[in-house]
Amino acid sequence: MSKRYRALVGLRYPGSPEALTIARAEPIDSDAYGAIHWLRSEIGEDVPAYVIAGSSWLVEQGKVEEYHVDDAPEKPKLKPVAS
Amino acid sequence: MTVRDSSSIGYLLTGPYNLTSLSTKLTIKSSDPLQETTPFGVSAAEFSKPGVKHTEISGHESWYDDTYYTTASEMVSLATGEHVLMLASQGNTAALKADCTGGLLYAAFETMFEVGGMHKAALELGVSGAFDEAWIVVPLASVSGDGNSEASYIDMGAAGGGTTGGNAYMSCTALTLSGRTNLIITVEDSADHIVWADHTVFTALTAVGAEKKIATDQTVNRYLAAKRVFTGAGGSPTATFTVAFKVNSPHA
Repeated sequence: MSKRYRALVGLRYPGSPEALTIARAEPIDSDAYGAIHWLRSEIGEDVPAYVIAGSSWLVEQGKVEEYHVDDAPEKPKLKPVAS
Repeated sequence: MTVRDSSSIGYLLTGPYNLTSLSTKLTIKSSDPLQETTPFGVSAAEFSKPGVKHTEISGHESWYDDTYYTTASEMVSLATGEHVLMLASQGNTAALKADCTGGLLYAAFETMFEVGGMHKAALELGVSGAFDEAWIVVPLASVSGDGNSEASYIDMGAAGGGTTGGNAYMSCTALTLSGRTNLIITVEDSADHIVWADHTVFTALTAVGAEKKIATDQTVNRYLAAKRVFTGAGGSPTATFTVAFKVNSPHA
């Protein structure tokens, strides 16, 4: 079982853990901040774990929802039987 | 305390109509009146507040010109429902306060002509309910294409956010879709001004318009911004709009 989070509203966030770190460190008018690549999750889409870790208020205030994905491999499909 | 004068008036919007450059006088009176509730057997009068707030706008004078005439005529035809009124009394700048109401019910106007004087006009506005002193999230300005104001967010302070929602106001005074389907304006909030979440989404605009959205029982974080998305592709869409937000019961 793995834990994932999906967006309950549209979310915009820095596109990588490094970009999140830069966003926290740099003033918004700096070139480094301006060069950050941003991503967007629409409702129902997964939100990366680093965003959840970096902004825990997303969970606290119900902007994202935790859900579990079964890691078990898919069952082999049966071959059709000729009649 | 900052004293302000008429040059500080950033905008006066009634619905999607901008009356800033034509208006010369406006009085807004808000009250939460008392009612006498003195019973028999007491010697001093007693009063209670019924809790119904009243707001009046009066003394509105303007210069009369053909633009005003058209605008005022359109406003009078607006008067069949409730409409948004937004007054940026401190200035047209993000993070200043604007007086906003969604309950503009009635508008009437008259024109005055006199020998040796410029033509003038007066507008009377009836408002239901209370005025909100709302934060200007995005000042009234012309923008083109999709975008957001996250880089110029407003910070309401640690106590500025709330947990019981708020009122979002939007007025779009000019819109050129340039082949796009519509314009969707969204208020965004954030706890850290780095990760942003949609908070309140206004109804998609296909023409100029104004709207008040009531967000109940929602957390409002201290940082606010707004984004605009023109649905569809191609063209060079532009819009002139402003967004303001009033937080219900900010954190103590």
